[in-house]
Amino acid sequence: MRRVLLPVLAVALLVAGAAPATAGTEAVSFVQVVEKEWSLVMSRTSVRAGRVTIEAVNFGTDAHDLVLQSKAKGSKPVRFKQMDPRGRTERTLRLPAGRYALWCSLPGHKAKGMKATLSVRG
Amino acid sequence: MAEIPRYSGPFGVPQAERLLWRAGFGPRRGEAAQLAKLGLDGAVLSLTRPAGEKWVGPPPRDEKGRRLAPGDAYGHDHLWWLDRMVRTSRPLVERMTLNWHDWFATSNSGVGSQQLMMAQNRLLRRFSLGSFRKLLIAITANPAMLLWLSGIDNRKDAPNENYGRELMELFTLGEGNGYTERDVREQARALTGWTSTWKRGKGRTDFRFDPKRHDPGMKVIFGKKGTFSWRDSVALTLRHPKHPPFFVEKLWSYFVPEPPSATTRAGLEALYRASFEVRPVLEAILRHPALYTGPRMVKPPVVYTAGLLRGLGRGVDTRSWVWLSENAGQRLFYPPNVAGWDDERWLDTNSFHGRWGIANTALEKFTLGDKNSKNVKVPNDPEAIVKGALALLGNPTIRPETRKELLAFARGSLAGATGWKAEAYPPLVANAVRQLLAVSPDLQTC
Repeated sequence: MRRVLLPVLAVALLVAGAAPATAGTEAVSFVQVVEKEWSLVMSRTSVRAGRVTIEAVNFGTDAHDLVLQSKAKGSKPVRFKQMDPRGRTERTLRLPAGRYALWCSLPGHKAKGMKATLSVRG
Repeated sequence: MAEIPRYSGPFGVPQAERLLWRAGFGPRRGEAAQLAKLGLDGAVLSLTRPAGEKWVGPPPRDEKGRRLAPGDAYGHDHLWWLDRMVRTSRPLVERMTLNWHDWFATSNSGVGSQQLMMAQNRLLRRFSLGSFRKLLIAITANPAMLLWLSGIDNRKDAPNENYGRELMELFTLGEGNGYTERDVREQARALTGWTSTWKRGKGRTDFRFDPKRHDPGMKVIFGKKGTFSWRDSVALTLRHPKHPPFFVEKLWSYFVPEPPSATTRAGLEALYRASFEVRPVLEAILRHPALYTGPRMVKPPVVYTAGLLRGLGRGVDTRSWVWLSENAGQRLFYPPNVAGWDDERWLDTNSFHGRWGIANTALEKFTLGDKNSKNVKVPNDPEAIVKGALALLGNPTIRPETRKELLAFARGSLAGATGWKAEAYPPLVANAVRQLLAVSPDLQTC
C-alpha cells in the first residue's frame, strides 16, 4: 500500500508545483532571499529545475516570513516560518520548471514591495 | 633612503613557523622545515612572489555534505574563505586579502548581498600584493563599499560625507591627521556621482558613475583648488604627506605587534612612496629583525582556526565554523564596524571560550576512545601521549615549560590508572592533552 501511495503523492505534489525534497546525492541549488523593509532581494533570480534550497534571511527590523508559490494553475503555496530580525529559515524543495512568486505574507508587507519572481529553468 | 634593518640571525624551523603564521595561516606538516631550507630571502620571496595556486586537501562541504554556495547560502561565505585559507598554496595572498578586509572593513550587515561581498573579496585578492593606489581606486568604486559607506547616496544636491570621511580617517591618513572638517565636506562633493538601478527581486544592480549626479564645481581639498572628481579625491589623499606614514604603520601592525623604529619607518615610507606598491614594503617587513625577535602576536580567530585545520590535515566540513568563529570574535564578511576588528579583544574571557570551542571542534574528528577509534591503542605513557598530541597537530614548536605542564597533567591523570583504568584512561588523557596543547599560549600566539 505504502509503495503505491508514495509515487502517487510525489506526482500529485509535482503537478501542484513545489514539493519537499528528500536528501540524496543529487546536486542542490541555493537561492538566498534577503528580506527587509520593504524589499525582497534574491541572490539569483533564476535556477535550474530540481532540488533547490531557498533560504530566507531577515535583514530588517520587523518580523517577516516568506511564501513561495508556482504561478502554474492549481499550485499550492509553500510557507516558510516567520523570522524575527536577524532570523533565518530554509527549506529544500523540488522545483519543476516554471515561474514562482515569492512574498512576505505579513499584513501589508507585500503591498509595500516585499515580493519577487523566481524563474526555474527546465 | 634610510636603510631598513634585515634579520641576520639563524633561520630555522621556529623562524619559518613564525613567518608562516604572520604571513599566512601556519604550516602544514613539514612545511616549516621545507621553508627553512630556503633561507630567509628564499622563504620571503616564496610568499611574496608565489607560483600559481595549488589547492591542498579535500574540497569543502557543509555538514550536510553539500557543495558550498558562498553567494547564496548563510555561512557558506565564511566557510568558502576559511577553506581557501586552509587549502591555499599562496598563504600571503590570502592573508593580505584578510588584512584588506579588515582595512576596508565592509560588513554584509549593511550591504545585504553575499554576492556583492564575494565580488569585493575577489577585488581585495586581486590587489592583495599589488598597488595600493589601484586598490584604493577600485575599492572606492566597489558596489559593496558604495552601499556600505553610502557612496550610492552621495549626489550633488545631497552630499553624503560617509565615504569621504572614512577614506581619510580609516583608509589613508588616520583620525584628524592632516585634514579638516572642510576637507571632509569637499571630499564628499568630489566623490558625488555614483548610482545604481533598483530591480524588483534583484535589488541594486548596474552600479555606475553618472555625471549628472556629480558636483563639478570648484572645491578646495588640503588647500588645493580644483573641480575635483572622485579619482582626484583618491589621488589627492594618496599624495598627502601624512599618507605614507599612516600606510606603513598600519601595514606593519598586521605583522609586528610593536611600532617600527624611526629608521625603519623612514625606510619603509621611502620604499612605499616610490610607487605605492605593497609588495616591496611587505618584503622589507617580512625580512625585518622585529618579526623574528620581537614579542609574540595573538592569532586572529580565523587564522587560529585555519592553522589548526592545516596542522591537522583536516578540510572544511561543517557550518559550525561560522558560529564558533563568531563566538571567538571574528565572523568573516561581518567586521564589527568600519574600523575593522579590534585585536585587543582577540583574547578576552569571552573570546577565549570561543577559541576553546574551535579547538574542541577541530579535534573532535580525531577523538580517541570512541567507537571510531576503538582499535587505536594509546600507551599508558605520559611522554608518548604528549608526543602523540604534538604529532597530531603538526609538531608545532612549543616552549619547554608548556611541554612540562602537559607532561605533569598527563602524569597526574594517569597516576592511579591501574587495573581496568590502565586501558580506559590513556585515550581520555590523550584527548585532554591535545585540547590543552591546542589552546596553550604557544598555539594561540605566534
